[in-house]
Amino acid sequence: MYWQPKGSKTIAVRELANPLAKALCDYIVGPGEDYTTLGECRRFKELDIVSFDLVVERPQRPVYDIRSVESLTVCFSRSQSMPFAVLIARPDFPDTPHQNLMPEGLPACICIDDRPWQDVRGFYTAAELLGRLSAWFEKACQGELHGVGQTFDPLFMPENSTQIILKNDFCEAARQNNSLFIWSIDQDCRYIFIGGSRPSTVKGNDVELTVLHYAVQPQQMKRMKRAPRDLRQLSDFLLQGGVDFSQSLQESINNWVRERQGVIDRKSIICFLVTVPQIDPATNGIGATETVAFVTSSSMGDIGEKMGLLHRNTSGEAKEFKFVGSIGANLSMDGVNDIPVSMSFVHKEFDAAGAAYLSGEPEADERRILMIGAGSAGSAISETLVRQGLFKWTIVDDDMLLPHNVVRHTLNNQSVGRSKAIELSSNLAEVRADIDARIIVDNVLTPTDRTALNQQIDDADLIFDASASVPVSRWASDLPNTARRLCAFFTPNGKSAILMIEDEARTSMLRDLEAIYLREILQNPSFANHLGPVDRMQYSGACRALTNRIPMASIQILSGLIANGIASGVRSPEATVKIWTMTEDEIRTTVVSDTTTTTKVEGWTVVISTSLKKELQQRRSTALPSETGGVLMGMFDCDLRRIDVVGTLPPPSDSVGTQITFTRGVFRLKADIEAAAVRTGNQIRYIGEWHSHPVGRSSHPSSTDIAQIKQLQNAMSLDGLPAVSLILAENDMSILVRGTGKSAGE
Amino acid sequence: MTAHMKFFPTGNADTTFIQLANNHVILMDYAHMRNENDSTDKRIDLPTAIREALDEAGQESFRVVAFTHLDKDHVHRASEFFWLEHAGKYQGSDRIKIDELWVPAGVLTEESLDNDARIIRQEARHRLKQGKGIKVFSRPEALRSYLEENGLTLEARAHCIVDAGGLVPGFNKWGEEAVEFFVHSPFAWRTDEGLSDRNQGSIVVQMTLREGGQESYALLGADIDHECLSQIVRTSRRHGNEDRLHWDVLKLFHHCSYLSLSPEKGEDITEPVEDVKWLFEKLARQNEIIVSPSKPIPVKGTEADKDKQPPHRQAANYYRKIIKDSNGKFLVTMETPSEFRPKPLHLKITAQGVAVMLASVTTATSIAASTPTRAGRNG
Repeated sequence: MYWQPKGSKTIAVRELANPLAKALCDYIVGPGEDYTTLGECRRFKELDIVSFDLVVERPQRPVYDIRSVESLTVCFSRSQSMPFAVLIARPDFPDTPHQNLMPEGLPACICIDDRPWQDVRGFYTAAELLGRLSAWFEKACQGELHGVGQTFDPLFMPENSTQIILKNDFCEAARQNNSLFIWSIDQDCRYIFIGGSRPSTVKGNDVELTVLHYAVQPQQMKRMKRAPRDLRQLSDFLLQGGVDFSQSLQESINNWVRERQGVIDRKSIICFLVTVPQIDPATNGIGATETVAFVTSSSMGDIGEKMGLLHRNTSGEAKEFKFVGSIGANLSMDGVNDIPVSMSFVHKEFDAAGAAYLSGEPEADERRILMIGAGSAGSAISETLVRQGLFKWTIVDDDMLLPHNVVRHTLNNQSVGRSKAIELSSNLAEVRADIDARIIVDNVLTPTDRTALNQQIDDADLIFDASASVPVSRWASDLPNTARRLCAFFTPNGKSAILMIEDEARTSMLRDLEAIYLREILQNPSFANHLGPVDRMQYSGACRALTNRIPMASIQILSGLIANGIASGVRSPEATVKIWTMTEDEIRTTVVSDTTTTTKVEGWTVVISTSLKKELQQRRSTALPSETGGVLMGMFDCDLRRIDVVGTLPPPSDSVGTQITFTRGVFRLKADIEAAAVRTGNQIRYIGEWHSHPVGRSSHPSSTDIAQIKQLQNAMSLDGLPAVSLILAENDMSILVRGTGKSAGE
Repeated sequence: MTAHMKFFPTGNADTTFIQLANNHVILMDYAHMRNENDSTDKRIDLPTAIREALDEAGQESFRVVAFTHLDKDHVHRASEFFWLEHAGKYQGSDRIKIDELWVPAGVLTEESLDNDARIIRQEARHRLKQGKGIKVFSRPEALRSYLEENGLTLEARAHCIVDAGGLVPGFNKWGEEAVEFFVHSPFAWRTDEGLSDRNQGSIVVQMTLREGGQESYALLGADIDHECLSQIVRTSRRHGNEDRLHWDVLKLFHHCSYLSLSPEKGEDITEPVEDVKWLFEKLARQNEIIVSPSKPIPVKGTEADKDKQPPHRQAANYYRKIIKDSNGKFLVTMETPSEFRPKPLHLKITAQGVAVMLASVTTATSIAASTPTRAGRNG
């Protein structure tokens, strides 16, 4: 059977006005003839209706009761103003996912395409329509129409439809039965906001808006198979779900008559919000709840009159009131079947869960991140992460926005002269209301309110250094609490971005990751110019106040890469060190995976990476049977008494290795050491020497080795630093540290 | 991946293409019957169709090619299509290789053959001598003698021989190929006189395909008659192997001949003998699919109806009757989707059972673009 609405009449194919409808008919009797049979064409109001039979790829045991041949009716808008709709008239057509919720009295309507009609209407073909139809049935048979969700959006959208936006606090207010507030920001009330609180900025208008909310309990819920079209049907549906609609409506009407009945006769919109659990049509399993809106333009007075609660004030007294209560009223829902209700689009306010879903993230990340630095990197990265549903935010920065900052900041000109931290957090809260922003306007290295800062540090699950300052990164690494640390920055030339994320267990801390990063820069040939020439300009008269000339486009690209790296990196328990390098043609990603080991020597903590150990072993083996060696490059921190051994340089060409000695030469060594320091942005320096022992000898220092380290110590003491000597044998390694190092207190 | 079966419109002839879950492909029989010089011949250009099917599966050779027996309607022009190992002239670069050849034992010992039948026999003999790339179905005395004449023994070639009543080695329904083959014929069974041979018969197997935890069964075989079919039924029943006769898909024996049902054709409907009736009516699963690899079923009273050769209207009427109880399908290769324009009949084995695929629905544009074309819009 086909859908043959009352008042429709059959027409010939050539009388169809919609081109796709015509094309469908041609296809059915042409290329599609093996599996389609044309039934009839009709016209109904503004619709062209094409009905036909479709052979379905039905397996022997379909999940839903789909037939081998289904009779379908496709409705097209003659003026092409609306998308087509596929209806199935047989009343026993099974309830499946991917069907539009249809009002009572209309046939089932399957949803074969969820792309916006305006995007696709220009190139829709009959072959595609039939292809999608066949695919729908094939998937239905296989139980592959996923999701229990029903499409609660109205199918035939009326001209003046209302769209509802539920604020984030709606659910909580509804759950607690608190007052709901309803307002609109446009005079036509096309968009209606409903929440648990009313923003102060909303002004009154001359429409009387009312919202009533009902929650259907899951255990009483049956899947809504047809959408109620009038108040009577809505009442019946709610009654099935255990909601005494008439009783609660009566209370609302009585309240309205007593308290809210306006003196002026205003336009009225009543929105009935119904929170219903989603029921799986195949398993009857209960899914997430959805809120559906039914809207009527009848007033409370109209409804009360139909229910027999009110009657029109014809007495001549208190003429300003249109309705008065009936005495001894006989409550009945019989009369409200001519109060139409129409389903409206319901949108939820943008929140973390929605953000994560729409971004393709597995779920919202509710952890609190403390971001240090609200500059160019911090502002761009945080905005992206907020839009992707990540984190609650604490922002720390003591800086004010200056005009030149605007070029590479997400903040605008109007924020100049204001706190970056405050302005950024209010920006982020405007993107997503649930970031629960906290702000510390302070410098982490020299805080004015250490207690407040420490409190925020303690509350954080993640600490993110976006300050582009090496001391801040090290300070963050050394903080005592357990929060996982991240650090991201751009190179001064604006061509590269670096992201470091500690592993969850913090076995590789930011300081370790920094040494790993510097080692990569030192020894990977493609990073020779990583920290290369920088185009700086003075932005004020002060000679140290330099700013780099980097376009916002680069910041956007690199921040995007960093944000993406953070989003995936914080989900993994592993540590991350990533370097992105932009060239004219491409962006190269370098993932550095390395670990470090720590040795205590003479009160010093010596940190060496696994890859450096491997490199030294390699150099030793290559030189065998002779000894070899070279200078060591690295970092000292005299306060922490920590030495990071980052790398080595090849032995100078005049070095001499024999089977029992190694004499490190000097040819071009000074230039090489300086070049290595420059290559890493002067982060690493000469720290000592290493040499190998031949086969059969342990790494225990010989008397010559002892003499050498003493000589080294004398040299290093000129810089107030200790000397490091590393001896590598076949199976072990000795680390010698001599000299105290000039610590801040000494 | 899902397994597929394809039956080709080749008139009264058999060619069954099977694509397994791991995309490996198996061919049962090859009969290229089309007359290239007759533009009205509706039979398919088989080599082209098979090459297309191989392309779709992403395969360049057959895991198995089975010749159920050597009748022309099961082997015609096979020697032009396959790469054969026994002689250089069958080894052109455009020929399709066969990893394993399946033949009934009779193929090796049959004499006075010509054309394709002879060439397949030579190939089978060559492979058996090599001791690889072949499975011979059953072990009659004639095979023993043949092997001994060639300085071999049955025992030395045991790994190449498959007996009725067991599974063909090398396939596992729990493995990635998700298939197994139970051999029904050719078979030997005990008589009062001892082991007696009925081995000149052809190959009949039950194929089990696993998909999504569910099994589908297909009975595939050659041109056996009601007697042989009854013997298969009785033998299986005697060994408690009834489940090895369950079927979702049954490729009709002998192109819808009444002789596969009963010795009597009947006026309008063939009434099958008891054992065959049981196979068709009790062992079929719900919504079964019967495939008749044959010409269109003749209309009563026409010239074709008077033809002694199958397909027989009376047999077809029986099949049409028995599928009604559960909405099964009776599909004739030369009638599907229409007699006017037959196309390969394509079955898909899904977790919900076997479905007949609508070849022409799958247009290029159809499903690929079901996600929004532009991010950022409300999809």
